[in-house]
Amino acid sequence: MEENKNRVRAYVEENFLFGAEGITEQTSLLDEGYIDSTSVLEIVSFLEESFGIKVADEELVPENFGSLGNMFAYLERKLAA
Amino acid sequence: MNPRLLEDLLVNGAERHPDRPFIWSKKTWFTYGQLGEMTARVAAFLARSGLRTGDRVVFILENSELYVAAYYGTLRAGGVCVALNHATVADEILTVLADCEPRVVVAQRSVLKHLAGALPESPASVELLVTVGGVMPPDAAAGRRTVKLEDVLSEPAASVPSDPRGPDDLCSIIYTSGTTGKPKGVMLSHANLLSNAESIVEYLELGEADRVMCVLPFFFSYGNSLLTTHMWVGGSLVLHNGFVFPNVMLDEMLEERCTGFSGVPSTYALLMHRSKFKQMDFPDLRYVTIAGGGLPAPAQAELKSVIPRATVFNMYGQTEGAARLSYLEPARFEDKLGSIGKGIPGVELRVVTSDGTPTRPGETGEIIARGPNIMMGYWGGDAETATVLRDGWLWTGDLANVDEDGFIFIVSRKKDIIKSGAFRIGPNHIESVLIEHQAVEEVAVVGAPDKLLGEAIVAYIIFRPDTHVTERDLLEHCHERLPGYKVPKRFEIVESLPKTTSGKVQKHVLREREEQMARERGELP
Repeated sequence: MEENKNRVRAYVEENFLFGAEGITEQTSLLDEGYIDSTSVLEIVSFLEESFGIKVADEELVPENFGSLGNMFAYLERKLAA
Repeated sequence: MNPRLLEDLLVNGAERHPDRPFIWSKKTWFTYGQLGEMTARVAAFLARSGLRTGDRVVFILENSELYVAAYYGTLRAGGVCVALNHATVADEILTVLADCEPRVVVAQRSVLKHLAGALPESPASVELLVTVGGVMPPDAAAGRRTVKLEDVLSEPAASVPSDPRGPDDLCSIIYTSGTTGKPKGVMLSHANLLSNAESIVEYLELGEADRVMCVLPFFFSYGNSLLTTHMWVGGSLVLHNGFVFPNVMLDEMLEERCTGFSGVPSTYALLMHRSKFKQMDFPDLRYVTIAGGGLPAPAQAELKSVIPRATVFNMYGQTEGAARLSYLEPARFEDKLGSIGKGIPGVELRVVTSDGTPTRPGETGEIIARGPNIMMGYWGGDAETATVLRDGWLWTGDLANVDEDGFIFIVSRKKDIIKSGAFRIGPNHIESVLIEHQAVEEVAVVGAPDKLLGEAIVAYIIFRPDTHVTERDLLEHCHERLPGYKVPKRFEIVESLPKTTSGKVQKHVLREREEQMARERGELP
């Protein structure tokens, strides 16, 4: 899982954070203005293509995509299912 | 009711129905009475701070009860409101501050670092910074006085100033992308905004029981019109910012029993394709509105099929028209599908040739509009004003044709403007940022068809010889200088660009290439 986490973290950092400092797994990427509606969809495509999972429309909620920690937990649950 | 000034909408509402719910923000309801008191406190504070009639106040704030309090408090103090997109960077803020020379800037926490970057070079007119949800460190304030809006609101208002303004005085400046890259400040009078609100209330048949789910930002004229129209009738607004998680918004819409919803094409694309919208039922939903760029006719029909009991209003507008210029009456939704209809009450629309002669049915011409909602002009831009306001008509730059029954169909935009998401984006600004990169020899930025955004920004680039940069380098360069929504979604590295004999890039050729690619992906018919 650690490797998966690193891949997700690297993707999000490279595409949306651009060297921002002080981002923890708990930081709300929405409240801090790092992601918007299209970035969430880009993250979804990345997860689907990289990990072979299918993200259902009803799963597009902050509990799954609002922070790095939520994304890690969501991915772990999907891969275990 | 006869409001003379825009703030009368709120002041009257607070007097007549103080306990009625007005704004739902972060899961809390605020009444008309509460907002009336908050605006009085802001107005009294600004007057004490030396704000004079006609002074500009810039807002860089997302939607909330605090936005409404600060904006309408400013109007009550005689100020002129200038609301900006909070997805911004220091350069953009500086451009606006230098242009409109405000006395006060009101900014939320997330933009303070960008504001701090703009202040050292900002005009001396900027004396006071009002922060929301954060504090500006003294060394970052560049000698300006700072205060927290939360502290302003904790002090009861002794008295609210009154000043001798009239309906034809300047109320608001809304900056909109120009084709030259420099934003243009659209000047709207109180009468412009009030007449437009009254007209929209009439055709949407809004009443006090109406409650709109508001995902559109108030700094955007379409979002601003949701606020003014609902105040007009004493209705309410449920605020949902960002629209990042449509499913959360849909649940809130259902729980708060919203009767209306307003979106731009990308809003509906997300709802239809990446949310549970189609599986839900909204028993209270009376109507939805579409504006801010054309939603393709088949998508409009599909939207209607998902919410069969609700009325769908397809509309058209421009910031230069306060917000709205036309709507398609719902009774003609099916047989005139895709049309933007005709002028709203009190507004006349024509489609004309370049000499002003009305076109024949089916012939393409430019849309011109006349009415009490048409702007006063561009701030400090007499020459630009003169090119679009001629003999009492606003020349919109949008090309259309009219059918034999007088219904207008948009064909394309004459101006070189990209409409991505809710935004009008001038490609020149992005081009000027990219050309600063040491590896970029030539650049042309166009809008490409995009399923969700309407148009996505694509940058065609010719590199200088012997340079080695990656797309990632270009992205970083853009992210440092542009807000996220202006950063190209794709870079096309090319050897040459199509040009006219005079050397001008033929952007229509690039756009046609993008359309062809979209057709091959099955995203365009």
